[in-house]
Amino acid sequence: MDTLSTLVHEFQHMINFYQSTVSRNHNQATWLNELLSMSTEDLLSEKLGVAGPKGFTTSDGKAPAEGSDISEGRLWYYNLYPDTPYDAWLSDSADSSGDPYVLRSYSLMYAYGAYLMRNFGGPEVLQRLQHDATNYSDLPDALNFTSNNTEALNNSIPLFNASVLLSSRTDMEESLRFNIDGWFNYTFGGQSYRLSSLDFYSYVYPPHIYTSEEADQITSIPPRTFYFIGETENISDKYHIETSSATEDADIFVLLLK
Amino acid sequence: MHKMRLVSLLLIIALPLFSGGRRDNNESVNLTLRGKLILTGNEPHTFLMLVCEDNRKYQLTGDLLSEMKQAAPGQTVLVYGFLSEENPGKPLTNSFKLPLFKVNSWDADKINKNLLPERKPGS
Repeated sequence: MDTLSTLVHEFQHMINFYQSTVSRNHNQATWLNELLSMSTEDLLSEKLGVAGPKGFTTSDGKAPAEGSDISEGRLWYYNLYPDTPYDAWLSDSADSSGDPYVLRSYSLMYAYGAYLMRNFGGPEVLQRLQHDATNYSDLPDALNFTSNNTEALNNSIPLFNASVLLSSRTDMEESLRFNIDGWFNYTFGGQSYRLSSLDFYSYVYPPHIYTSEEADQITSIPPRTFYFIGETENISDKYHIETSSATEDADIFVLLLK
Repeated sequence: MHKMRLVSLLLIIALPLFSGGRRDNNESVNLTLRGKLILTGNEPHTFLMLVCEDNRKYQLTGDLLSEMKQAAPGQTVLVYGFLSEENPGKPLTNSFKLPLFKVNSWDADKINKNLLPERKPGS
């Protein structure tokens, strides 16, 4: 079953090479190209009947319950390392457990792509990004094809991270949605597509959140990194989120939970 | 006649200066380029590109590439080297060539992987 998903992944690279490199003379950043391939795996997983990068199959579009301890796909690994540098691609070398650092980049970029699709237009997101974006700064313009989402697109990284922490809630407004307790439905190019809800607390590890004390001990951090800092692991009942402004040049994003 | 001999002699002496002694323009001129580093392509066929402020693009080559891939993304860097005719033979560069720039040295901030946390249970 993984073979089918891998074929989908590589097929996107093939189409991307023509649409972006050949037709438009773009040099798309590696992280974006890989994001598109994993998002395509996600989009087609329901049609292929495979788990894909989300790590589970579902017949009703619902995310598995909290505590299901899913350890397949990419998101359990993302939860371990949400503080991975954005728009970097950590190629080469492995950590002390033998895991290549690039697994962190794959996991982060799948999670971010899953967010973009579920909040900004499903399959059309993939086409827009493939055709019109080469790097992070292009995303707002490339995805601004529906009305009233400019502000959300300019802040997509903090909103994505907030959506991760709020993913056990099924009542979130647009641009904060990972979980609607069922399918996200789309029609594009005469085809219908369904994306399942995601709850990041379904996985074997919850998203890693630094306590204030741990955060105080951080003396030096990589650029373009998002940190969860708070006093609680689950903010499903009450939450208040503060973020730094997300601009292309911002080095570090911090999500404060209170 | 004497004048002809002198001219011939001068030509013979001067010829190596314009043939065997010619330096390859591309490989002899050291340049410093300033621009943003972008990793492009898809795994495992990635390559580093330098995008200068006037939007000229170069594919970077050389022994330092592996080290340079650890550079923080999108940052403005200085690279020192020369334009190269060397072709690494990758399909992408064969069909959609960017000028190749062989890097002798560079300066930029690298992502220090020692700063990345390790929290996989059992590791």
